[in-house]
Amino acid sequence: MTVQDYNNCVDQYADGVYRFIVKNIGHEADAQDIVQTAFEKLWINREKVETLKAKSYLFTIAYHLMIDQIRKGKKESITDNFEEVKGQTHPNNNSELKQILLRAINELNPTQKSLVLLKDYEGYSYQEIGEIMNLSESQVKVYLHRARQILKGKLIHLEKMSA
Amino acid sequence: MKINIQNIDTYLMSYIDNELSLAEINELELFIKAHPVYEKELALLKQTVLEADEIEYEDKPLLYRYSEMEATLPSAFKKQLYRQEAKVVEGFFTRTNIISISSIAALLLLFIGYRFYTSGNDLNNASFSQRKKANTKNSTEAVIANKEQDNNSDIGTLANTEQDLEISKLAKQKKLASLAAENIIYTTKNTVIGKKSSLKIVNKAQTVSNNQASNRMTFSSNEQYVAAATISETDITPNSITAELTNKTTVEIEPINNTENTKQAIANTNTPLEEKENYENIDTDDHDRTIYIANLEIDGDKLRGFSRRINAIFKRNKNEKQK
Repeated sequence: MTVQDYNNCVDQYADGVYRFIVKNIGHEADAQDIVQTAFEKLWINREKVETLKAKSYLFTIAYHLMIDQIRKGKKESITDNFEEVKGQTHPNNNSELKQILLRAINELNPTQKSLVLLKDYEGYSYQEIGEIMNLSESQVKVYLHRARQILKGKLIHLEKMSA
Repeated sequence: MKINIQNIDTYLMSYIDNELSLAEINELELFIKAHPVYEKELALLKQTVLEADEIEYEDKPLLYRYSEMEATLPSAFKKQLYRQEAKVVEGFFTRTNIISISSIAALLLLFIGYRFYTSGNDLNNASFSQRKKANTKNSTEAVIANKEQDNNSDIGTLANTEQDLEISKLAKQKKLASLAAENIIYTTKNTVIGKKSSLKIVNKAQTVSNNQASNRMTFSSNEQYVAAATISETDITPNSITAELTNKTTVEIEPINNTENTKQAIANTNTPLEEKENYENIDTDDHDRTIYIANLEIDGDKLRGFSRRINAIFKRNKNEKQK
């Protein structure tokens, strides 16, 4: 990987990695630290990492850093509402439904949340998610389906409550 | 794989996750058309999919790297930056050094002690020789003084010889000579203290003229000379005064009153007397005799007494065997 390839990785994947982490842990400063560490490792290992696998490498590093931080219990208190997360967020028209969904996602466990985020935000396949999260493809599928069912149930419940 | 009521949820989940193939998607759409109940189910599942937020990472400039960062230093410059481990300096007082130093010090002490001991013996020997010389000097002086006194007495005795020869017989003179010998032994013992008194005793015994055998004097009377000769032999041993000078100096005193008998006696008895060399027994005991062996100090007098005792034992054994 050349310097130019690395800088291209920064342009292409820095936002995604940061979003993935900050949506998971809900803490900007920790998310920024994790992103910097992930790219630092990519720079160090730039000769070993292929350019095509750089994104997966970055997310893998960032995910494990995040898990380590969560296990340490430093920043386990994830924000209840994704709207509290600062950043360049653009308001959506369907904001009400989105807020309901974000509340529902916050009630998921970290693995399910990561699965949903990686799938919906980054569009990774089951196989790629399995590689990042160190899970099998079938495990990813099952866990993600469980998460979808939970979210569906919460949405039904919230719609009934609102109705 | 055909879609049915049991696996329709899995197909719906895979559909919203974009995990179905095109054929599976077509099959699912046909199934939903046939079963419109699952349309609402699909709509609910689609609501669970998050819409991507446009969140930007603001610190991207911190992540950028530049080509200068790939610059490497030349190997020659890198070599200048290398550091070598400093050599560990061992202390001087190691175990082996201490052992070697102590052994050398012990050997030096032994050598110095031996040198002191030998030098002490040399000093003792030197003092002994000095003392011996002084004693010989004194003895020679005393002998010379005795010679003068004896010469004077000899003059007197020679004057009396004629009268003695007339009065006594030769047999009686022998007895008197033996008596004189005893007296001379006594007198020679006291020669240092007072020579005059001894000479008087000798004059009374009428053999004074012959007691100076050490001076190799010749006398007129044969018998007296014989007696004197015997006396001189006995005289020498107890007396510590006679010295080598007595052997070298021969004083011949001719009788003042030259009678015929004396002349004849002189002529007949012109044979010299042999004398024995006598040496003074000087006390060579060194009262400060100490032997140093390293730090040990040994009393030399005790060792000396010990050696004397051993010698005495051997002498006793010898005497017993001889007996």
